[in-house]
Amino acid sequence: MKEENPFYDHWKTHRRQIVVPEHFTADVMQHIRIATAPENNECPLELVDRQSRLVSWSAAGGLILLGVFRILFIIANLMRPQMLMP
Amino acid sequence: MQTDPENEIIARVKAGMTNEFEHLVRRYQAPLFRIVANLVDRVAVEDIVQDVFLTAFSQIHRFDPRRGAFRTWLYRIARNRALNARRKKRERLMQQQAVIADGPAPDGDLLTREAFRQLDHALARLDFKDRVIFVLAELEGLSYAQIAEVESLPLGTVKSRLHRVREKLRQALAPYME
Repeated sequence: MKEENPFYDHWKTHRRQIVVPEHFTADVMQHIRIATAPENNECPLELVDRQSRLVSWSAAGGLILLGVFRILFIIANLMRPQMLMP
Repeated sequence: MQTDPENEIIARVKAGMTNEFEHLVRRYQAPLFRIVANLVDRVAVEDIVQDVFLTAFSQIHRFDPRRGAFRTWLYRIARNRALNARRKKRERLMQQQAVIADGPAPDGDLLTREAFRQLDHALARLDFKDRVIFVLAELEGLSYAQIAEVESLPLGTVKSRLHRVREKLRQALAPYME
């Protein structure tokens, strides 16, 4: 490929040109220090994902239950005798 | 017996010396930016690479140097994070990839830019695995064996896939061969 076309190497060089922001290392280390600080030790990094997933599922479960109750409420209202009378 | 300095750093991080992890961030941030930027939309790169490092830090106790190199372990995390990001953006992103000359515009004449555009299109149309193989082999210079480790593929499959990718890119350049 290299011998076949000069564009190819030029293009690969172009695709390698990505600059890492200067603040990047400091940002990553800051996140890690916060996550590993003694006051946050009850919630280490690997637990954060698990906990946020748990919260999402709980919220979804709550919403489903609310929906079911709402449907039951509507059905119960429709079944009331005065609703059946003309 | 000689020990790998990188594994010594990892051992210190595992022992609770958090600041030692900075050596690993500095060593791998540039290659990870390159890999991720060529797999997903460049806008999302910084967040994804940061996520890769945070995941690596939180999972480092699971890394076993006897089972493979830290580099391939880290690249595998990056590959998985990039795939997740792509799935989230779905087809819209796939289309945008075709014009991912969203880095600096290439210098040169119209012909060069058009050839680059064709190569970008060809790259965007690749299957994700093929794209990872291309990035690791052609942009990062990993060996077949290292790529096989990252992608969990047999060595022969990596070779044949890379051959196929190069062929596709060669076809994209066909109009510029004269």
